[in-house]
Amino acid sequence: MTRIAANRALIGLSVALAPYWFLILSGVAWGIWGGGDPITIGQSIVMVAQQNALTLPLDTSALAPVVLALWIASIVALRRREPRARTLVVADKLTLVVAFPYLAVGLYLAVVFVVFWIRCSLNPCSFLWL
Amino acid sequence: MGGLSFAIGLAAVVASGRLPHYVATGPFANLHGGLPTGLPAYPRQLPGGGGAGQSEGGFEWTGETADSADEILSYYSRSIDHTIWDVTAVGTQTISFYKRDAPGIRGGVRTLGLETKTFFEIWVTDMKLPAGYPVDFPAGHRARPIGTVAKVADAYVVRWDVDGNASSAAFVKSFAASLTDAGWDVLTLDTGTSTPSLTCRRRSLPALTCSVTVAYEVDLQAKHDPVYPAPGRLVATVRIGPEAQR
Repeated sequence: MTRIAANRALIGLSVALAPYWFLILSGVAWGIWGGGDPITIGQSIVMVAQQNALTLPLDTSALAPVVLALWIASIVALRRREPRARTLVVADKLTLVVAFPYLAVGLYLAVVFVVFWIRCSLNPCSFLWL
Repeated sequence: MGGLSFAIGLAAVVASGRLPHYVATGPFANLHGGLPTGLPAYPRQLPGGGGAGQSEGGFEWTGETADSADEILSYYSRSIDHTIWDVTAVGTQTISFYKRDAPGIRGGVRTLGLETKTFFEIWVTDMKLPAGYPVDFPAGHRARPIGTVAKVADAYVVRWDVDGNASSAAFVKSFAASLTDAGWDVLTLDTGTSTPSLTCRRRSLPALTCSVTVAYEVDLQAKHDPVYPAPGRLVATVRIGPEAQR
């Protein structure tokens, strides 16, 4: 437990990077399925990244709360300004940067869901237009 | 650190259930089980709405894109591996091709353009056609061969199971479009009866004609489905040859 706490910053950065691996690995899998040549794999990675970027927090819903928690932990650790190894400080800063787009998209989806839920609570929604 | 994030990402990919799991069978399947060899995926697909399916000797992949039908067909006519497939026709809604080393294996791309996007379907089917059968005569949408091809007088007589289509009239209409794109003039088109039909003539060789008639055939031997007890199937009878349109 102590070791995990000591390496919290590095673990945080690893978890923050994981959703991006999700896009790359999904693209590789579809590229192999679609032919397996480097061009197809490259096209698949780009295609998956384009298609799934806005739903990434949903696709990796199990990771999202962990990323959020570690992102907040990074902010807290950086604000404390306690003397720490430079590697850990850099890892915390990178975690903030790397996780931000992912969390921003997650926030966007959450806002969309809340607005949708409130609107449909006030006026029953018709889904015929979807 | 890199290893840990990779492992978490890999676990997330596996857990998401979004990995490809359609495995094509038949002589046209590639080594990886996805799209048949030499057929690329369309690079600018819209998320959702796509999918793949396979049946014995058949494979199809559907998708949608914001691009026009022209762009899709142009992409495929350029990007198909021409050493494996021979593109016989590029039209306004469809393209047709066949496998060079096994001309009985036919394929194509169909498009359906709407206001803001275009649906497309890539399909390949082993039509079990004999040597000599015209390579530029396209296969119908979701047509599966029944039995062997007969030769009556100078005409080929082919029977296709077209039950995968919405209706017999829908099949005939879409086949008329495919024929027009493939260089055949549709002479008559009748979709208002219980047995829709069409006749056609090859543009480059008017002596070669065709007739297509779709009828519902009752099959009392068929296994009865308690939910959908249809005792038969839609069958298209296709004749190709001189005077076949009569």
